[in-house]
Amino acid sequence: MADKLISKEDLNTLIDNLAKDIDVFAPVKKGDMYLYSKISSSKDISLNGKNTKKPLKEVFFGQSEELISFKTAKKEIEIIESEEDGKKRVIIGSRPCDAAALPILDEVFGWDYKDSFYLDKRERTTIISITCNEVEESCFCTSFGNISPSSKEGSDLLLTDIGESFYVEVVTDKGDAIIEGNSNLFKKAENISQKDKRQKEAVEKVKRRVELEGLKEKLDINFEDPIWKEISQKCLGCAACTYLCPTCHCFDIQDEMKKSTGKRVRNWDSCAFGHFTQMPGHQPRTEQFQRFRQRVIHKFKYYVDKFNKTACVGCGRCIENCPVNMDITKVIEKIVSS
Amino acid sequence: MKNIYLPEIAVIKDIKEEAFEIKTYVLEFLNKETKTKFTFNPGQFIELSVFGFGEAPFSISSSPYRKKNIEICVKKAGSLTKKLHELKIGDEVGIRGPYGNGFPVEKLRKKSIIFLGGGIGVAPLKSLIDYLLKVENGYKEMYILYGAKRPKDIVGKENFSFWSKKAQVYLTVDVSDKSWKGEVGPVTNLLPKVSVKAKDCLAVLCGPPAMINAATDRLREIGLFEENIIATLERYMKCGVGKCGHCTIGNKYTCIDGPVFTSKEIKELDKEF
Repeated sequence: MADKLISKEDLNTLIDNLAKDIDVFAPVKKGDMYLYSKISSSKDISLNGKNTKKPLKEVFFGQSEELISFKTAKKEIEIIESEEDGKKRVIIGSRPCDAAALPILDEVFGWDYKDSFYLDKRERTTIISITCNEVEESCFCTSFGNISPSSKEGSDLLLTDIGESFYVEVVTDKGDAIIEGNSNLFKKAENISQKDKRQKEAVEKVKRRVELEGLKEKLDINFEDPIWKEISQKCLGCAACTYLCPTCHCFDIQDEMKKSTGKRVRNWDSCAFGHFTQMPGHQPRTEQFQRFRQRVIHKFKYYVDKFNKTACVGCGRCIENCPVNMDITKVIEKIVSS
Repeated sequence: MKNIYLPEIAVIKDIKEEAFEIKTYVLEFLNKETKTKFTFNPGQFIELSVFGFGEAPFSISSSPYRKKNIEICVKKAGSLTKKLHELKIGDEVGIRGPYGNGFPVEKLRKKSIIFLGGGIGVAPLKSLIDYLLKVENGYKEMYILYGAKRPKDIVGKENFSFWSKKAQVYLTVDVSDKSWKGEVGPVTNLLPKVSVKAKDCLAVLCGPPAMINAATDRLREIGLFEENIIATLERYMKCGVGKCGHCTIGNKYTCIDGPVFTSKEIKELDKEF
């Protein structure tokens, strides 16, 4: 699985070739934001843009996804299984942080009961990430040991822009299969120093850093600390942070009816909402600070306890999109120094 | 890969009025193979579909010894249960499950057992009590302590008279009326009626968190070991399969790691309980 080069022109050819037979997803500029979207031509793609508004998780775990459908006739019910289309898929141009979120999500969708909707899409998708050309002020991926603007975690291939061409690093067999299937477009790797330079530059562009040392130990014991009320005061409970988080995975299940046919869908849900835990006779999280605390402790302690992984990749979306400028890195700093 | 969210159709075979706004539903799978193969442990739950209204978790209240059908006990509380209360015998619903760990039945065998239930919390206990009454050497001695808000809220009055032939049964209500001649006060007030060797005794609790906390404190005072105080917890288990995140308490998923926990385990969970 040797490294390769692909010219920018040939990458476009590759994308166009792939899009003929399989589903290709890539960042696409829509209005003033970028979103991972299904594309039919390399012309639609935007590899130099800002971070996508919504994370890559959406391609595997839809914001609203059908689980079953059914028909009702008098007393009788007929259930129709919702099936996946089974098509192979490729993602081109994902950010390394978004790709790194996938092995984190794999844990929850794959432990104990297997979630076929998510795992099936994962299985038939190849992920071609790209070293970030630009980083946002809110990016803090390098605070995590295994993640950076050029990390390979969760990717099958990693592209790095070295001018006329992309340097291609092969991470998995899945990635290698793309090269094998289109070998005429790939050349022998050269210019490794240029690749290393570009990657180093990208890493250095990430200025924001948060010290995670001591955080887990603090969270192990600070559940009842008054600091939670203090640091969560501004939180509106709007859930923008959880919806746009690449690792948040909570969902609600609802039925939608149209006359006698219905479908059962799962929709992204959020621990920031009061109704998330509301039961007819009992509400374990009555106040917003408890919901805020749940989000933070879940990411940096509970997930670590259970799956030995931190459920944050430093993509910065929660910082960028919070309507009241809550900042997870500041929150962590305050907890660690409390 | 199997769709873990796919329910199986079941028919409502019978409906019993148990108490004020509480009904028991007898459910039978339509599919013959499922009907014979479906097994569960007392304390496990199902996700019940009322098509068009969604799904909600309910403890199975019948004994695993009972074949052919299962029972759930449902209080009218939200939109789904309101619709369920309107359904008639012969109507179809959906079932996924069984889910959760259930009660540690082997640990309970041949022991003195105190059951302590509040309100509709008697439903999962009923499955276990009926099971232990039937299984050989199921228990050494059995106390059933139960509390309801008012006399008309007592769930399944005939169950208590049936159980009283084999167990010591004590009931109480928070608010009495003219018809009530028994105890008045919280269910924990019934504990002095229990005379057991604490070291050889287990307690099984189901009710609101305040009741579980109060009962746990009292049982520890009497001398029960923390690992012998067992409670089944209520959380909004939306998916039942450890994915949706609604039922987590600390790093545990109530739907998979629970809903049955020992008092020792509950203490180790975050104070959120």
